[in-house]
Amino acid sequence: MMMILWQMRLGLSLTKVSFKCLQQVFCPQFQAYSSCRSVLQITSTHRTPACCWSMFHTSSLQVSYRNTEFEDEPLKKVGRARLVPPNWTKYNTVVYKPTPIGEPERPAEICHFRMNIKYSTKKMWYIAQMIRGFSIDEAIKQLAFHKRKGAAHVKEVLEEAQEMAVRDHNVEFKSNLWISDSFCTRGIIVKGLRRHARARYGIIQYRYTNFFVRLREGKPPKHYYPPEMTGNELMERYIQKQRERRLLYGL
Amino acid sequence: MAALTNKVLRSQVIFWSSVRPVLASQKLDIGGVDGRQPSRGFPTSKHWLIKWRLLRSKKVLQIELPKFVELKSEKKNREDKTPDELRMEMKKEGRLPPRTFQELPLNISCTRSVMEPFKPPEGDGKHSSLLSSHLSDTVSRMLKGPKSLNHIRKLKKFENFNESEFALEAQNIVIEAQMLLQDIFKNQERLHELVTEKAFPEMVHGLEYKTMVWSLVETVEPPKVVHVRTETMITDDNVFSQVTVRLHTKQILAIYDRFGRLMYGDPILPKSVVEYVIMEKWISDTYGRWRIHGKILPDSATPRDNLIKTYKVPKFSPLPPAEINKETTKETKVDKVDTPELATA
Repeated sequence: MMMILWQMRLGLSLTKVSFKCLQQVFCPQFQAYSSCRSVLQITSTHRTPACCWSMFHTSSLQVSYRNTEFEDEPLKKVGRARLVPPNWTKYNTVVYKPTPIGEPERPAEICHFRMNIKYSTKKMWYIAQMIRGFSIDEAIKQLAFHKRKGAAHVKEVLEEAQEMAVRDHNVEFKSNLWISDSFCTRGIIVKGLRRHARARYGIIQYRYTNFFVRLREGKPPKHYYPPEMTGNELMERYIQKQRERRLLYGL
Repeated sequence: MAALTNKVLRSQVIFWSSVRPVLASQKLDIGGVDGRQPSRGFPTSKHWLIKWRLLRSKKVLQIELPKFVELKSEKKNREDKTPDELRMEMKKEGRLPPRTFQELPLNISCTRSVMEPFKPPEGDGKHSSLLSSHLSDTVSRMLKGPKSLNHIRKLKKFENFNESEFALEAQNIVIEAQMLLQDIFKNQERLHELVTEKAFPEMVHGLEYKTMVWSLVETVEPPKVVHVRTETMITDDNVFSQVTVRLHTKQILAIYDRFGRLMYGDPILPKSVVEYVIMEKWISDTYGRWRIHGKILPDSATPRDNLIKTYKVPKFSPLPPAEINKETTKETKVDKVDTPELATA
């Protein structure tokens, strides 16, 4: 028990096991804690000020520190605005079963996003739908010359995703990727005011947008959407439909 | 009623006070034909006189929009910002100055190191044990005998230690731990009972989103204890013991990536492996148990197979030179004397 207290006090990453023990230990906390403290005072390696002795010091509990030295992860939320989507990143943690020998390998898939960009969702849609089914190099090239402001954000997201793919997801060549999904959704809306006559006010909506992308390994398909039917195909379909007609309840 | 008129009046007052008279000499440079707003052939709801345009814009409440994400090209690097800028930024966001943890993360349930690591004889498992080099090794080990006997004697004070029985027990622990590694998240609790805090991250790191297939085909030679060490920590009655066990087995190992593609090894081909596994126990602790502490990789070991897929070796920029303060160096020296070999994890 003492050891666990010690670990916790010293900011060690706690294991599941020790967490279980902690639940038992910390209900009648204070006696155990004080004994731990005395031990620590003897063997502690650094002389820290007395106010920092306790992990349960009020200031450390109530205050949320952000930029500590160990801060690796970016913020997930600012106020009510999410900076990380609730579910989209979970696709990056799916582990598929080994492919049986002789079967084709599953292509790698990488999901990435950018939340709450100050841009209109309606305008972002044009960019998002443009790059669908492009190879990554082609998409980045097109976006570099695109005149809409949102294109710069989308390009950065693609580049980040590409880097992630090679670094974390065992993708061999960074150009061997294509955009299998690309869409944007509504972000938060900040409300502003505009003054009207007779002491009335109008609400202005400042809109934000989220962009999501999924890259897939391999060459892009020839047709992302089903291609337009040729005249022959249309005729064939028509004839087939005509032949499929049946008289109901007929003999 | 009175309150309402009051309100209306007040708003009117505010409105008119905010309007500044536009001088005729001031020419507003705003587009449009004859001061009219450009429109697609429809009359607009906006006034035709330009001077109201500025005043109309004043009706909009000026708010500062939050910036959640910035373009990387527009973002200023943290290093480029002056301390004053950083401070102002943090003040504005209500952030507190960085907190530095001065404590050393300590774990006293295992040691941090391997005591006097065992040196495996060259070509173990490859050549016959009758080779001259092998013989000289055994002779030198026999000469060293009394020293390790001391350690064994000390270990036997604390527990009933039988080398051949222990070797089997160790092999079982290693096999179980390897099997559990195939699903880390599920078996985390049991793994911590079989593996020390020092060895756990070494075994688990990088396996989180991969699939490991491992199986033991057969034991080629019976396991054997080759090395025993005991050491006290801080006080005389706080004793740790490390035992190195030689395992010679045939194993199958295949590692698949997140998408089930083979990354390393082979799912069919068994390979014979000679391992030197270090087991550790906090023998003076009532609840101490034998756990895997590490592995010894001899220099003469055959190099590992390559990964199946190639990858680009990332280029890292060199680290900035560390600033060494005289005070801090003094402190660390003192620390080392205080706690000689507590494990950090």
